[in-house]
Amino acid sequence: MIEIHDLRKVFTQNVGKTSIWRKMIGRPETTDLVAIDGLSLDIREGEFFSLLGPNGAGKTSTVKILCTLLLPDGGSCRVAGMDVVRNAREIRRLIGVSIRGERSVYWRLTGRQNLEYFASLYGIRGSAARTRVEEVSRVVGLADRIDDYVERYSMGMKQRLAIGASLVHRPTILMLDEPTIGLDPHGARALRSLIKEELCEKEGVTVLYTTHYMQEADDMSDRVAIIHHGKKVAEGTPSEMRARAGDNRVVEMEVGADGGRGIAALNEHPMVERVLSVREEANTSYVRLRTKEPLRSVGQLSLEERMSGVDVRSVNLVQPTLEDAFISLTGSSISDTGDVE
Amino acid sequence: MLMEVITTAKYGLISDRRSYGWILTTTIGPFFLMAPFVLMAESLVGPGGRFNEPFFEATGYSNYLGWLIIPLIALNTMNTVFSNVSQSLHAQKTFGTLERILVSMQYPSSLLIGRCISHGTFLLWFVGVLAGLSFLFLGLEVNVNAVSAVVVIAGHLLAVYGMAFAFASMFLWIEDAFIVQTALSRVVFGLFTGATFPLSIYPDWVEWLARLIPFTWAFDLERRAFLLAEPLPSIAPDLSILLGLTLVWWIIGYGCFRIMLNYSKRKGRLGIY
Repeated sequence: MIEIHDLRKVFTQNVGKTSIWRKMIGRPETTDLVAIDGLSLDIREGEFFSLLGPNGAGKTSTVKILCTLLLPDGGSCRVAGMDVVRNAREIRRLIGVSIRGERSVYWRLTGRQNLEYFASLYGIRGSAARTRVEEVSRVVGLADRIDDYVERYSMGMKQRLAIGASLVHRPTILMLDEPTIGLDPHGARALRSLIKEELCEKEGVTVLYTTHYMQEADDMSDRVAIIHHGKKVAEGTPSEMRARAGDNRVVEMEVGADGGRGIAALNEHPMVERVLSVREEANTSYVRLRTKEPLRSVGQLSLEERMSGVDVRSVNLVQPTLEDAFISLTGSSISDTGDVE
Repeated sequence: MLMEVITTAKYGLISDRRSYGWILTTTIGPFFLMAPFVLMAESLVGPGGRFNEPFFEATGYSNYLGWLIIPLIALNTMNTVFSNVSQSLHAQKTFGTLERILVSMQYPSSLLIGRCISHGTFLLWFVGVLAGLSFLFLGLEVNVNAVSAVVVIAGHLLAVYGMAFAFASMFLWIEDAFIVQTALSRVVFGLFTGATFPLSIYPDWVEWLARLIPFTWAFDLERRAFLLAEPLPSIAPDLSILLGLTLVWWIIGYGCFRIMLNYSKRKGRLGIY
């Protein structure tokens, strides 16, 4: 359904302050920023596919190229068998897109006017448009507020309206760029349920979803691709990805707070490959780490740590998460805001 | 494409209809910018003014108020068109709706043409109020040939929208193109098209360049239609030049839009939110 082969996109960025004179003579100091570097993907029909990566990984650029808003610098992209550069107009008919969700709808119009506007642009008018708007407003859960001005909606409602606007023409492919950013947990859950259950499972829409929330990608996706610095690091089902973090190799330890000495000791431990994450709570640190070899028991690690003076309170072998896989693969983690840590 | 244009115009109007403050601001504002200019001209080229006779020799018009006010109304109208069409693109770019609308449209130029049409309905009000205030407070007197006036205004408006297309395209290229637009629309078109000064006071080469601007012809034709009541056959030769230049500017405007849209798609500048 979506084939990306060796895709490349480079942006030119101005360096530091650029004077008006340099701008006028067209020679500002610039540097090249490689946004997408040889990305290849194959997304199948009816699939829920997530692009997972931190801010600046190249997720949005990939979506923008696929929806004809950005021209690639190299490689090829085909959507439903058509080239995104040569057949841009035909592709736009087939796809529904939500980029910068809540800001992609007109706040000075009502929800209904927004949906009718977009329906009309796709050639759906009159009674057909009215019927479709009713359907879509029900699907996105806005039926009771559809005649309110969008500026009076909550952010979650605006996001749902943006998704509704991308559905009015019954697209076969839906591209959603970080649709749950800024939503409260309840709103995010409702939106995820709408996308996964109503659109992907019931209507059979192929969904390309970008996110930096690991759990979200883990819960919803049929397949995931992790991208980092514009390159694909790994691709597969969430369980395949988790397996990359290693079965019986991820351990969560409860360690008494000792100014980080214990954690430093863990990093140096001959059995430990990498400390994946550290969470501090009151006088306790919860350390998630990956061992070099699969563990037969956790006792050895615990005993050795106690002997070296680290206050280990408990050690548990845990199921690896997508986040563990991401850290194992890239050596870095993603903060809640999507930045690399 | 036609339906996309009509749809965009319709929802542009619905959106603009929600607030009326801008109508008042953009109507009364230009009048107060125009009025001092007219009063100053009255003291210089009016009866007893130092330049009364030279003005008549240079222009051939004794109705000096009409000579000045008719193009000033047109000039202010042009400025509001340029601002509105460019602003509509710039606002969508900064807010984030531009990308969305361009994904939904089959023909991106529908966005600008639709905005031109929705704004065009406002122009009736704008011109009507400016003209009414000029009659009431500035003593404007006219001698109109209605047919010529309608045709000339139509040609002028087409030229304005063609150039608005080109101006709006600049906003896809330069982040803040308002300064360039203002310099062109207020300084170049204000001073070098014969709107405020007779072209004959400039060197020949300036006059030659001014003749490449459609508005130079439009202002002259409007004066002849509104002040001298010249019939259509009399203004037809110059009118055809205006329409020819209008066509050229539409082609330039559309070409600029296509080029700048591709440039923005290459550089990733369709959204600066």
